[in-house]
Parts: sequence; structure tokens; C-alpha cells
Amino acid sequence: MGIRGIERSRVHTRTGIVAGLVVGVGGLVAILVIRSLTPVFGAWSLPNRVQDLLTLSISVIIESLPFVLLGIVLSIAVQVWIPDRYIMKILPRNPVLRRVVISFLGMFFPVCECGNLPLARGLIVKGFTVSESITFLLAAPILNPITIVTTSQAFGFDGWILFARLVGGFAVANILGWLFSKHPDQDSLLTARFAAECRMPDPHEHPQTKWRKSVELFTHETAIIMPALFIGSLVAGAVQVIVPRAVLLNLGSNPVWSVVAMMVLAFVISVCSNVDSFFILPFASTFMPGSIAVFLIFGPIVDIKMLSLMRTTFRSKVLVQITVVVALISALLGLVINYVA
Amino acid sequence: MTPTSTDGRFRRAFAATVVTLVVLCSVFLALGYLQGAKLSSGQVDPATVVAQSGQQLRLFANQSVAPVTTGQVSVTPATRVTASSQGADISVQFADRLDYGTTYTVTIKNVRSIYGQRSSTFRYSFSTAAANLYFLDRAAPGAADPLDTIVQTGVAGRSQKVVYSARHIQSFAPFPGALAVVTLNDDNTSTLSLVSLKGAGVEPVLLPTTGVIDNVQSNAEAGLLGFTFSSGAAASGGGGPDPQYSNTLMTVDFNSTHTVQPELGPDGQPMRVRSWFFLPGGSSIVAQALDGSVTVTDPTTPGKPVSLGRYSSLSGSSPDGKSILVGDAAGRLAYSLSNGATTRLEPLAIGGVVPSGGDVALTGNGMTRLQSAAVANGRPTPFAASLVIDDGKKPRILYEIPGDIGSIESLSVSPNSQYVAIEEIPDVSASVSDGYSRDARSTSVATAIVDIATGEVVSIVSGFGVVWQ
Repeated sequence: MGIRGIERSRVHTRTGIVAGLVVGVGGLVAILVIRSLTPVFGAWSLPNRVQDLLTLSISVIIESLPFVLLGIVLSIAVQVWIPDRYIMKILPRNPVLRRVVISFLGMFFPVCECGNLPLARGLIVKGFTVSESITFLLAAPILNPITIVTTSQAFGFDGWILFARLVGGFAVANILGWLFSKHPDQDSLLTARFAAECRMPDPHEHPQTKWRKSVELFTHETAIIMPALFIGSLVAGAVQVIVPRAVLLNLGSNPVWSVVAMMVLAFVISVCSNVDSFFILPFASTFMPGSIAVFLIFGPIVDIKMLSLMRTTFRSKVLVQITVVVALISALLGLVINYVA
Repeated sequence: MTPTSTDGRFRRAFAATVVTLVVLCSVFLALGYLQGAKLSSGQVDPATVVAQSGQQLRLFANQSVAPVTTGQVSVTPATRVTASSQGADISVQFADRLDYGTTYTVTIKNVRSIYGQRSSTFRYSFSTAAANLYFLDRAAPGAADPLDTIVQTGVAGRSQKVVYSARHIQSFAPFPGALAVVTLNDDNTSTLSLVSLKGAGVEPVLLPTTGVIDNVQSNAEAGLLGFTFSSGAAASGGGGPDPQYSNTLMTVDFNSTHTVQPELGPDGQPMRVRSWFFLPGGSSIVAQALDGSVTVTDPTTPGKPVSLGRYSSLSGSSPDGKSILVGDAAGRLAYSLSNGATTRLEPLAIGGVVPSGGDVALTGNGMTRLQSAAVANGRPTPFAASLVIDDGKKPRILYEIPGDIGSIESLSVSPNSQYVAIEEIPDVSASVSDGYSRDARSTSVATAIVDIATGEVVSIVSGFGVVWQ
């Protein structure tokens, strides 16, 4: 994208703001009108299933939104405010060690997977290879202080769950990072649109204030990620309404099906890694410990909402490859724990 | 290196990774199936399992298991159980209360997963809570610092801990983390306080008027304290106009208002009672009014008391709360609260002589009871103060005060019927009263803790008023 492209983007941004304001105000008026007419309908209300759909979808959005915004802010901080040398300097040059260190960057950016996506995008723009950003993206939701604290609160430090989650998160991130580092054309792993953005000229060539650049980045990232979050949450809510949870629970105490059931549950529920321990805690007495670990490793990386968000950055083929490997590593860990524990 | 060859390297690495993971998953999948069901964890309340019968041990298998029956379960030390299962959850229900401070091992054989035929043996061990009891040790008359103490200890009596001291403690009743303590004032009236065991906090409890408190008991689980209260002339035992309170049954709910309230009888008036007690395993009160009528009421729920009939005495309940002891002109009866049936408790002869009866306590094991009695012994002192255990078929002496010169004052059976606390005066002829105007005791009063199964004297503590918790 050249100077004209940036100018076009600014015009689009202004138009978008005006359009957004009009839609927002219009929506507000519509809600007020509907609310004023509600008594006319008497006891009429939405069907239960639609209410469930809205409740489940909105709950995923409410839970994710603060972390998404925090992730965007951190992404902007990394891209605009933190000089290159501070991030790149701490990373070893050896690729394996580099990915190992990147696995633990989440300790300094404690956001869940929703917030890590914009941050990972920012790191690619900043100079990370795609495989390194994948390592960060997959490790950070699990290897971060909030997730560690909530998991230990839910399951304690003894037992297998916390240990398995941390080891699993680290293994998944580094194995996939190593795998994709073998790919000869890293840019081809990205969507065409994001790859083009990454090829944008250095901002120093077109002087802007850091604040202006930050605002533009915020608008840009929000416009890309929010629709994905809303659509992903809606799909997650719809699947929960359609697939009875009891079906999953009935599979809970089978050595194989409990692992599969937990993967499906994690995929459908799309709950953030910072709170998923408390969500799954009541199932701990029904499901085998390995399958609980599977939920806590697989869920933060692969779920409906996350795939929807990741689709803004990575090609579909990459997402399939990530899903297959994450599923197999999670299943292996779950089966090992079920055998040993 | 051409792009095609490097692209191929990625594909090969990806394929190798996937194949390796699939193989490993298959291996552990097969191992998991061959392993069969495993015991993941167990859950039991070590305190409740000694206090109440019918408690459960829940065992969690790592996968759904085929139905488990009672025949597959054995327990060491032996105790009666029933077993059932649902999914991966196995329940072992103990028919009786378990012993204090004992390690039990539950073994379940031939546990089969519903997904395979391989059977496993589950073994789970747990230790029950140690006995915890409180007693009152009054200061010797004329002591320089005459503080009475409430002591907490175990059945062995070795680690005694003074939990509260004050002048002139009349009686007490324990709660979790607190004690209700009654002290005597200089004018021989009573003061009621709630004493925190976690700090030095002492909360005075306001009484309806000046008066005396008797027969203090607590229901720790329900947070209820009960006592009888007398005011005015009734307090001093004198005549005169009818006082407002005379042996009036009062309760205080320490889980809510901390307000002293009279319990109401069937006529809606405050109950005046001869005898009363909390029924174990709930918040019900059994009380005997001055006219002899026995009623059951629950201070935590509205409703009129249920009448059980009229008797000459009411003296206690079994530790499981299923039966109460009442008396009529012909002797003592066990009254079943489940069906209203009565069983006469005739003392049987020991060595051809029927012992002369005293206090009786039901053990919760059928009609087996303990009775303090003077038993003919054939020695120069013709009778010994003894504790007789009588199952209605063959009574035997469980405990005797050495030297045939003592007396048994009262009995208190532990909630699990494992021990009995026997309040005794070792030498009646040398006994001197502590001079308290209420609940006076001999200065030499002691309490022996005796194992009911073996008759072994586990410990003897210097004090009285043992309350098991």
C-alpha cells in the first residue's frame, strides 16, 4: 500500500466514522422506539431458543471484549510506542531458543487469546516471522499470569491439570512454531490483505504523530477484529443452542470419547483462557482428568471465535493445519494423563 | 535450494509430525483400554462419619463402571456397608457411625469399565476425625487465684488445652469456634456470655430479667443454645407470688439474632419443664413439662409441639436420636421416635442379683444400654459403683470404680457410641462440695473415658460436664 493507499484509507476511515455514528444513533433510536412499543405486545417475548442464543452470544462477547481492546492497545504500544530494539534485543538469535523465549512473552502481555490476535498481528508488522508470531499466539493464552492463577485457583497446584496445561501450551506453541518455520514462504501463510498491510512502507517515510498513528491503528484493527468477534460469538452461541450439552456430558467418562467431547465442547463454547478453568471446574467430577486438560489446552487455541479471529490474519489452510496438530497434541496429552493419573 | 524442495520439506515435516502424533495417540488409546477402570479420587467427611450413621464415602472412577454391588465391597476394620454406583461414581454407605481416629480401608473387587471387560480392584483409605471433648475443671476452694477453666482435649486426655478461664463458671456449651458460658454472680444469679475461641472476645447475652440458668445444652450444628431459666422467688427456690419465669425453657439462635426467647408449649405459652434436651441429628427439642407430658418441638420452624404422651421421667436419647428414654411407675422405657413403640428396659441380674439402677444411657445399638448401678460384689463392701452394659440378654460389668467407695454421678455417651464419659466421685466419704449454689460438684470429681467395646479406661480427667464435639 503506497501513499495513495494510505490517503484512501484515511478517507475510508472518516466515512466509516460518520457511517458508524449514523448507524449507532439510528440503532439507539430504534431500540427506544421498540422499547416504547413493547407494552403493546403484552406478554410476547422472543422464543426461548432465540433468547438462549442471544444470551450465550452476548456473554462470549462481553467476556472477550475487554481483552480484545486491551490486546489492540498493547498491539499499538508494540507497533508505535516501543522501539524495535527493545523487543528484538531480548530475543536470542538461535531460532529454537528464540521461539522458546517468545513462548513466554505472554507473561508480560496478560491477555487471553482474543487479545493476543491483534498483538500477534502487531508483532508480525514489527518484524516477527509468521512462525514466531504463531508461537506467541498459541503460547500466550496459556503461559500468562492470569491464566496460571485462575487455573491454579480452580484446580490447585497438586494434580495434573495445571502442569499439563502449561506443558501442553508450551509444546503446542513450539512444535507448531518449528513446523511453520520450515515453510519457505512465510508471507503465503497470511491472508493476502494482511500480507499487503505488512508490506506497508515504514511510517517514518510519511511522518505522522504517534498519537495519530495510534488512533488510525486502533480504528483499523477494531474494524477488522470486531466483526470477526461478533460473528464468531454468534456462531458459538448458535451451536450451543443446537447441540444439547447433555450429549457431550454423556460421553464424559469414556477414555476416548471424553477427550473428543471436551475438544468439541471447547470448540463450541469459545470461552476465554482467563476464565475457562472456572467454567470447566464443575465438569471435573464427571470427566476424566486428561479430558479436562484437553479442554484447557485445545480451547484457548482452537475454537469457533478464535478461528474466526485468526481468519483475519492467516489463510484457511494454515488454520486447518494448526487445528489438526493442536488437536493431536492435546489428545495425546489427554490420553497420557488418563493412563497415568 | 528451490522453493519446491523447501515447500516439500515443510510438507514432510508436517506429515511426519501428524503421523508421529497419530501413532502415539493410538498407543495410549490402546493402553487406556487395556488398563481398565481406575480409582481417581474419594470423598468422605471424616468428622460427620463418626457423628452420624448413614454417611457416604464417594469414590470416583476415571470412567463409567458397571454397577457395583454391596457384595464386592469389604471394609477394614469391619463395619456394615451398602454400595451402589452410577456412571463413574461409586457410593459406599456406612450403616453405623465409625470409630474416632481410625484408618479405614475400603476395597472394591471386580470393578469393570462399561467400555471393556478388564476388571480392577479399587482400594481407598481414610482416617476418621479424632474425638474432641470439653470439660469443666473448677478451681480448688480457697485457691489464691480461683479461676475455673474449660478444657479441650482428646479421649486420651494427654493434650489438654485451657480454652477459657473465669471465676465461678457454672456450666458451658460448645459451638464451632465459640463457647456459651454461664457464670454465677455474687448474688447467685447467672450471667450468660458467648466467648470466642479464636480471640479474646466475650459477648454478654442479655437475659429477660435477673435470674438463674440451669441445664445448659447446645446444638452446635444448628447454632442453638437452650437452657431453663427461673427468675424472682423461683430463682432462689423460695415461695411467694408466681414468678414470670420458672424453669422456663429458653433458646438462643447464635446463627441469627442472639436473642433469648422462650419456647412455646402446645398451649402457646412459654414451656415450664422438668427436663429437656436437643435431639441429635437435627434441631428438635424433646421436653417434659411440669405435668409430665413429653413433647417434641423445633425452635427453627414454626408449628405446634408434637405430644408423645405423659411419663414420670425423661432422661435422654440414643446418640443417633432415634429413641428417647422415658420412665413410668414400673421403670424405664425406650420410646422409638420413628414409630412410637416403647420397649421396657428391665435390668437383668448379674451373678444372680439384680443391680440397683441409676442413670441409663442408650448406646444407639438396638436396645443395648449403659446403666450406672450398685452391683453386689461379694466383698466386705457389699456393693460397687459400676457401669453395666446390658443388651437385654446378657448384662456385664463394663467399669467399676476402684475400692468400692466411689459413686457414678452421670454418663455421657460419645456421638458414635464408641466411648462413655463417666463422671465419678472416687471416694464419697471424703467428698467435699465446691459450694456452688448451682450445679455444685465434689471437689474430687473426675471423669473416666471408657471404651464401650472393650471396657478399657482410656483416660481419667480431673473435671466434669464432658461435652463431645
